[in-house]
Amino acid sequence: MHRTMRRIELAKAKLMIVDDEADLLAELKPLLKRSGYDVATSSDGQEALELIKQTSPDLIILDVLLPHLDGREIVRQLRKASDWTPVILLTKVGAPAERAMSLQEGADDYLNKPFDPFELVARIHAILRRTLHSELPISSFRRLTSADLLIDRQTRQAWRGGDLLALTARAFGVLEFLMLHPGEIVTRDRLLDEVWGWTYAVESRAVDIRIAELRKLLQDDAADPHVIETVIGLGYRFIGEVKASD
Amino acid sequence: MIKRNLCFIVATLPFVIGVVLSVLLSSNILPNYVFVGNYDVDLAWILSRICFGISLLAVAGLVVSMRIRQPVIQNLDQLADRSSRDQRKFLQRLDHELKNPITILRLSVVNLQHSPNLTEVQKASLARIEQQTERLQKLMIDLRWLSEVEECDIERTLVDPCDVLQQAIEDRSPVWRDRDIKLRIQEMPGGISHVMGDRDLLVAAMRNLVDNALKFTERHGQIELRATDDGHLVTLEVADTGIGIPDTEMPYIFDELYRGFQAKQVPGSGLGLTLVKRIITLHEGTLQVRSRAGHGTVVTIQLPLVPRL
Repeated sequence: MHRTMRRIELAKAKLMIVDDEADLLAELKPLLKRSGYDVATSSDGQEALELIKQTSPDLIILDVLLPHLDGREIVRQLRKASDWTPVILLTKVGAPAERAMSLQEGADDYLNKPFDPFELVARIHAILRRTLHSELPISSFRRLTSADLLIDRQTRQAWRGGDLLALTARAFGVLEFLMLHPGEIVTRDRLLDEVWGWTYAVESRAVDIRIAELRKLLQDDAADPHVIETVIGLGYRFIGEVKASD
Repeated sequence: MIKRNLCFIVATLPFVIGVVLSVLLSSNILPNYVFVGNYDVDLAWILSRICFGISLLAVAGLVVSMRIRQPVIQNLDQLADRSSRDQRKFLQRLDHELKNPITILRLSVVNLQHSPNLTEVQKASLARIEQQTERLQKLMIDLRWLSEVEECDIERTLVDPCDVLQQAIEDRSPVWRDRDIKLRIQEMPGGISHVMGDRDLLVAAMRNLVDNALKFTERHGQIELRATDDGHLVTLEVADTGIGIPDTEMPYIFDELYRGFQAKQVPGSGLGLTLVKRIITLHEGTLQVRSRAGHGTVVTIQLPLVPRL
C-alpha cells in the first residue's frame, strides 16, 4: 500500500492503538479521544495489520509483544509495502543499538512503558505535525543536512563546511536526535533516555555539557543561536531546516 | 599467588633444614653418632630422612589440595556469575510484569481526574494515588537500570577526578548552606593524574555519595571530599561526620533495596550504593566503606590512573 501525501487535520486525525492489554486500551482510548483524536483499537497483531490496511489510520501506536504478529514485524511489513504511516512503538527498548535498529526498521518513535500519558499525547502531536510535509520518516534516511552541517548516521560522523568535526559519541547522539526532531522542544530527560540510555544515574547537567560541546564546534552562539536553541525551563530545539538523503 | 608461593617455601623448609643438619653432622660440627642404649645411631642419616619425609609429605599435600581447590574455585566463580545473571533475569522479568500495571494505573488516574463533580476528598485520594504510582515508576526505572548497567555502553575518555568532584557538588550548595554544613574539597598539591572512564557515570557515582553524606549529616556537620594519587591508583573519598552505619548493618549496605533502620526515616530507594558499586566495578576500581555509628562514614573509591606523560 502506498501512502499518498495528504494534509492531516491534526484535530481529526485517526489513531490506531494496538496492545494485548485490554485494560490499557480501555484507559488510553478515552484519554486520546479527549485530546481530539478518532481512536480505533486492536489487541491482536494479525488483526491489527488487516485493520490498518482497511482503515488507513494517520498514526499507529503499537506494542511489541502481541499475539500472532509482533509489533516490529508489523512495522517491517508496512514499510516493505511502502506504507509510511507513522508508528510509535509503545514498549521498553533497551540498548542504544536496539533503539537505532527500531528506527532503521521504520518506527518513527518509541516510548518506554510505563510512560507519562501526557508525554504520549505530546509525541503523537509532534509526529503528526512532522508528517504534514513529508511521506517518508526522516529517521529512515542515512544523511541529514542543515545549512553547511552534514551528519552521517551510519558512520557516526559530522562535518561542517566540509571539515570533519571531532565529536564525542554522546555529542553526536544529541545532535542526531535533535536533527531527527527539528523544531521540536526536546527535554533534557528525553535526551538522557535516548542518548545515554538511562535517566537514573546521570543528571541533566550532562546534557548541557554536550550541548556546550556542540555549540563550540558548530560556532553557535547560545545567546543568538542559528542551530540549537535553549528553551528555558524545557530543553533544547534544533532550529535549522533539516533535509534528509541517503 | 603470593600465598601459594609462601606455602611451597614453607613446605620445602624441612628439606633445607635436613640438608643443613646432614652437612653439619657429617662434618662433625655437631655430634654425629650418639649412643642409644647399646647402639651407635647415625643421627645425620635419621634426621635428614625425617626432614626429607616431612618436606615430601608437605609438598604432596599442597599439590593435592591445589588440585582439589581449583575446580572448587572455578565452581564458585561460575556460581557467582550465574547468581549475577539470575539476578539480572529476575529484575528484567519483574520489569516486564510491572510495566503494564503501572502504565494502566497512571492512565486510570488521569482519566478519573477528568471526571465531573469530584469531591475534595476524592481529588486528594487521586493525587495520592498519582504520587505513589510515580514513586513505583521511579523504583521500576531504577531497578531496570540496575539490571542493564553492566551491559550499557560507557564512554571511555580521559577524566579529571578533581573535575568530577567539583561536578558532584554542583547544585547541592543550597542544601548544605541551608543546614550550615561545612563542605570542602581537598586536593593534592600539584594536581592528580587522570583516569580513563565515563565522566557522566563517575560524576553520578560521586554525586550519589555526596547526596548520601548530605542526607545523613546533621546541621553544623562536616563533609570533606578528597582526591589523591600514589602513582598507581587515584583515590577519591567522601568523609562525613554524620550518623554513621551500625556494625550490624554494614554487611548489607550494598544489597539492592536495603535501607538501614535510620535510613528509613529519610527518603530514598535503597539502590544508591548498589549503583555506585556497579559503576566503580565497570571502571575496574574498588569501593570501600568505613563507618562508626554516631561518628560518621568514609567512602573510598580507588581507580586505576592514566600515567602522566
